[in-house]
Amino acid sequence: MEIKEAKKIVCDAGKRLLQEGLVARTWGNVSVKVNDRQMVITPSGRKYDELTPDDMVLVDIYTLKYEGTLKPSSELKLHCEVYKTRPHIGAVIHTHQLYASIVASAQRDVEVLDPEHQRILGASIIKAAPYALPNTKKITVDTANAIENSNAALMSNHGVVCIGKDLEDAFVVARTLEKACALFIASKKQAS
Amino acid sequence: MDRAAAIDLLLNAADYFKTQSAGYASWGNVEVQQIAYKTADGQVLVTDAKKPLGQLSAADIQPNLSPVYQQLFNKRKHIGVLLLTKQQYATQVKREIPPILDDQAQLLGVSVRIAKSDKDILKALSGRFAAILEDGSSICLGSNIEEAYVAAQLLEKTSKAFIEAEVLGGAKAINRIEAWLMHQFYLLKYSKEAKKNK
Repeated sequence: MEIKEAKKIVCDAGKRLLQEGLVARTWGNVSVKVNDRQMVITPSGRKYDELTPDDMVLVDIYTLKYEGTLKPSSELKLHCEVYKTRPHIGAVIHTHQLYASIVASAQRDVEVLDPEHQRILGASIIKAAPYALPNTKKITVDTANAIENSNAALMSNHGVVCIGKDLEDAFVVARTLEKACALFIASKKQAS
Repeated sequence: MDRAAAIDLLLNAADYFKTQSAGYASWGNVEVQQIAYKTADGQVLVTDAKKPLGQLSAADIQPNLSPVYQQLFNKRKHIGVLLLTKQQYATQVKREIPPILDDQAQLLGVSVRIAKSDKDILKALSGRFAAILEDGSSICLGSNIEEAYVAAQLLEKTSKAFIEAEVLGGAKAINRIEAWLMHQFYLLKYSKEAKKNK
């Protein structure tokens, strides 16, 4: 993928995150892999609705070095770790979406009840990585591990990470995870 | 912002909140009942809580501060806006919400307390940007109207998580010292960005 194209895609995706209610303010972040060594990611602390493609940041997945004056998202290590450990992945989304955050606040794995959700998420259980402070090595490694062979993981008391072969795929995973979490909570309510 | 500009902003606040609320649709309903706004010369204008925001006229915006609001603005110099809100989930919370989400800790502070009386409001808000009142309404603070509204929405998300997580065994609190550190880091980062944007 061309860098220019990747920057436009990531910029548009940031705005979509906001419109779809998957993030608020400057929280969350999006990246796409440009080639085996580089990714484009949203910048740190900027409002999505004010971003332009030129604000997106090109980062070396292995050295974390970036080009330009804007800093990449503070969660870039998590994105890099996912790309390094899963070469087939083309896009990563990190959100603070509501229902997944509720399950994450309880530090629970998600039991994926709907077979179609299981197919999209790639597992019948979506794991919750143990709590660690944001942007630490521990949260990076634990979250990447918690994804296992699925397409998502919860980050306890924080949010979620969703992956896909491309951004469209990762968006579908994020939306599906939200539905799966809402269904999981509803099933527990019914049982109680 | 001078008095005239502040009144204009308050008269248009209902439309602003309506536009902003779209992004938080799934979090719960947040109704702003009253706004207190500090102008550039330090005067605090307050909207009439008895009138819906969308029906305010300039005559409904006066520097009529309650003693509690006065003390709050005197004590918290960086606070520019106070919102009195009625919120779908926050109103159901009857005990202190510990730090259960990172974004809550960063923006609202170490916990969300319940103020048992008017006298208790300042204490409940100490080092924090939101508190729930005994009557089920909430007070949310910010340096400007956008920040205060985000605090209100985040209070709603946090309250919903706190309530709904009960069926999953309850929300698990993160370490309070780590929560406090995250809040301090957020305030530092925010003040740096505010300076940069001046």
